[in-house]
Amino acid sequence: MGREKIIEGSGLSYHYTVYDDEGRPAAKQTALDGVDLQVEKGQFIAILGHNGSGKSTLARHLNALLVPDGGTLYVNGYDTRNDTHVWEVRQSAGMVFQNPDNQIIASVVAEDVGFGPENMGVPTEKIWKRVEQALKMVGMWEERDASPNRLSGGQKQRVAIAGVIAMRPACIVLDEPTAMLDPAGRTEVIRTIRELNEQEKVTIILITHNMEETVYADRILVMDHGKVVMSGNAKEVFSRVEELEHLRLGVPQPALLAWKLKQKGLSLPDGILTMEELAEALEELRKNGQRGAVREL
Amino acid sequence: MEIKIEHLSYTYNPGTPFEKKALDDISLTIGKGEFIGLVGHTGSGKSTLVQHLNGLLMPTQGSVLVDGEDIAGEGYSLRQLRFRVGVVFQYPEYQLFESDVLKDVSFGPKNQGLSDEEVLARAREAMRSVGLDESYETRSPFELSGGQKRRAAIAGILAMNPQMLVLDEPTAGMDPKGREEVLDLLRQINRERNITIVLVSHSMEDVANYADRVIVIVDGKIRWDDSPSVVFTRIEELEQTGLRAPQVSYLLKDLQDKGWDLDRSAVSIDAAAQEILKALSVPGQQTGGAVEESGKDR
Repeated sequence: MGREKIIEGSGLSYHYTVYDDEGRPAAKQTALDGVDLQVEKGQFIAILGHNGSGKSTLARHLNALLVPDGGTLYVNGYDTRNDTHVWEVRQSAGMVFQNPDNQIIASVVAEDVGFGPENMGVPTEKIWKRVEQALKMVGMWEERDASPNRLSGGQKQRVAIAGVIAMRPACIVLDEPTAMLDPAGRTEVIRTIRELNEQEKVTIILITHNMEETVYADRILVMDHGKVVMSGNAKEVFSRVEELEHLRLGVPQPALLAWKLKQKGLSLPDGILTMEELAEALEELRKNGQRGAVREL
Repeated sequence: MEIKIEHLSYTYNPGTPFEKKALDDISLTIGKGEFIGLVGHTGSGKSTLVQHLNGLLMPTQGSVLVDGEDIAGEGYSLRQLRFRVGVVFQYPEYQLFESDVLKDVSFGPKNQGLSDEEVLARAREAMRSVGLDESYETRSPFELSGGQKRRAAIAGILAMNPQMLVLDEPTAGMDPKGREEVLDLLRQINRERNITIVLVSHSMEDVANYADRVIVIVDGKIRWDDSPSVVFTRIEELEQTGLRAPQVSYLLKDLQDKGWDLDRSAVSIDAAAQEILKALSVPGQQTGGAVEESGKDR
């Protein structure tokens, strides 16, 4: 492929120090254990893993909130361990976090989005141009003069995403951006992320617990105990139902139902991810008279 | 215990420019031992309704009767009501505060004025029923994993021996396995201890899998109050209100539209799988009716 690499991590390790009652370091806890991660420009990567699997620790490495204590990580060509480059790293990898209420600081939407570029020293007239572009990209331009506290959770997350876009990062890292939203808010945010990736070619790294949100990713990484234990596209990863359940994860409902039907003897194709695909495959079976294939009833 | 809500309306900030009618003429009865899924968008009024179940809010109009007694009546003990109806709010683990898990779980029963032995017995039983064994008693709640913290928080409510447990999105932010564990725990509490469960959830799949009854609130009114298999077959109407049905409902409808002879009332993955297998192996239309019947019996 030879496409430009935005993120190049090899053998990444990180340990948290656990302190005793007197505040002395007592133990080390491994959070990342030899992670290799390559992300090319324009890719959409999803990272799955149970609570405590290390995925948020990995996310915090991508913009140098944490630096590896083993291995190397280059973000947009900058070594994150070199603290003279910390601002370049942070401008390269913009972060969006879980709680929409913790990320918005200004009293007007447009000013909030302008905060990042202003901090970077972008000239004023250019800031407003960037703000306009960013808000239009996430579909929040109409609300530019609104007060953020009157927005829904989904809208606040889109403003947070716009604030990151306005800094023109090479990639956006979203750490469970939909966890605190209702279904309508989730749909809004995921649609926005997909549009940014598909139309604006923004590189996306999405960390989530929601299997359904990952089916559009180019590649899914599954983490467990600080390691990447599975990697592949959605069709590949979600056909491994039992392994995923073992990792405290699940698969999207259509994939699960297809898997259960296969267990009962139906010969369905691999890689079913949506209910439409499943309905079509079942209809195919019915037309071809698959009755004989049903073993158990 | 039975809670009977009659023509309940609730208005926030009445008589001010911020006046907002959150609940509008709600009537429903919650019987002992039910497992109810309460569904509605953000802002539909479901949280307002939930807060009436233990008297955190009092009706602007109408009444809430607990075992026949009006909770707004003079001399009614709201304190006692709050012991009987336990409410688990979102992210309940943020409310853990004691130095060890046993103390935290004991806080409720201690407040009820029970003897030390009684408090200890209740706390231990509650911890056991959420799957936290003795080794957790002396651990700091802050050392626990996310799922364990949440179970510890639920244990703190259970230790008060409530007859009803109301939970607002108890699985928010948890990994799929953790979600399943918490929901299985609720089912177990419901079945083994006959505690009424009211589960507020955005996940139609969870409600379909666990609840016996679904109440859908739209704009402060009850839109549907029926079994999941009845509510979730009304896909188009649900979507008109901005909600949706569980994913399997869409599949079964799609297959039916393609001419399959099947019963759409299956709302869980397993029930849908059975229904599909049945539909595929039934030769001809004549026996279709009989299969549908037996499907409903389950």
